[in-house]
Amino acid sequence: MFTQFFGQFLLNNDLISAGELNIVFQSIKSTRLRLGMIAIDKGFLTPSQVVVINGLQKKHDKRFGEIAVEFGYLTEENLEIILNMQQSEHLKMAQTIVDLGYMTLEEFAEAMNTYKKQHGLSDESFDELKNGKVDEVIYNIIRTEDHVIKEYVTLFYKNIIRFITNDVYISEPEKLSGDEHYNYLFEQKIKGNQEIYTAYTANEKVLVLFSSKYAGETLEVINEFTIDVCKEFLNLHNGLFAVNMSDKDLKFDLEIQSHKENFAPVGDNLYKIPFHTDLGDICLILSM
Amino acid sequence: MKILICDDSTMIRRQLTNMIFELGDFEILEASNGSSAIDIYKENKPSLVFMDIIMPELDGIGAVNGIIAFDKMAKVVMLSSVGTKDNLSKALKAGAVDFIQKPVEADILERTIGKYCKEV
Repeated sequence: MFTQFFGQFLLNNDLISAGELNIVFQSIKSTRLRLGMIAIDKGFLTPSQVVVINGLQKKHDKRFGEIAVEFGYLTEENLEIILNMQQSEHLKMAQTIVDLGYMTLEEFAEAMNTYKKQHGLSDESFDELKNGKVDEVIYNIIRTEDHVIKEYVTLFYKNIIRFITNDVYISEPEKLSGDEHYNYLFEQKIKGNQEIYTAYTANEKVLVLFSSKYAGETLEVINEFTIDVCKEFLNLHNGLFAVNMSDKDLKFDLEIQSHKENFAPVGDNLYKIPFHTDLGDICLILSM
Repeated sequence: MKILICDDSTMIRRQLTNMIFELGDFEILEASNGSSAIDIYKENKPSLVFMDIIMPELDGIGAVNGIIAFDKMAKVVMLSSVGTKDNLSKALKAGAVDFIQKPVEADILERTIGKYCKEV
């Protein structure tokens, strides 16, 4: 999740091109983190110490960690910590970008600091994001004080990950103009402590891929069943949202979900929030 | 042994049917709304009913009321995404015996069927 959000930031700030970012996303899966990189990130070693250890490795034909402990550069405890961090998403991204020559390590570190500042993230929140917790970042992107809407959007994001795809990030909400027609729109009203209009849309190709993932079977065209699957996703998501709110003693009920074709939702307070996924863009539409 | 699945989503009915077939030799009956579920129940008296809540025409709570009015011993398990405290309380008050939160997991379905259908 960190890679999607941070990758988008690098792109938006012209720190990396779209083509380069695409290569980074493809390469990152096969990137194996070097322990020296993690040790520098944790502040356990300096870059020059890593160079020395790499030299010693060649002479002694031993693993990096073994040498580092044997020559007193790392304690057993610190080695254990960095071994446990080998799957760290943000470090894999850093190493991939640096190895591909798109940025230096210093530039990457500076970009991370700028990102933290721009999104008003504390060290703690940033660490959470690096570990896959996205709530604070989503709150900053959607920029609303309404806690119910914050939780709604965050849960939608998490449900896309849970049921559809891991590869997703979101952009800032845009107010609906009222004359935007959608070929297919799935909607459901939520009533109770507050009234919320909820809907989502995507182009036909994306909806077919989306419903195939959710139904767990290969669907090829938009038909009655595909539409049923898309409606059921919204119903499930809204149901889970109502349950979460119910745990906080907020009461929400759902109206029956429906779908519209060639339809332009109208309302003074309607916003669309783009969710960019590897299947294509999905647009959440909300009253907020 | 008959099991009635009442859900307005074709996908959910299809998925549940496939999951139940994996568990044994059941006859599956399907309804897509509460009114139709009551009619099918009266005609077939299934051993177990899985009932969604939010449906057109008559919702799941209304359908439980209708089924229990016909058969006090009916075993209706609510199966819904909206497992709020309020819905849980309404369903149990109407006479439902259990509540499963969607998305349903195979082991929970197996346990529930085992509990209410003795052959499993």
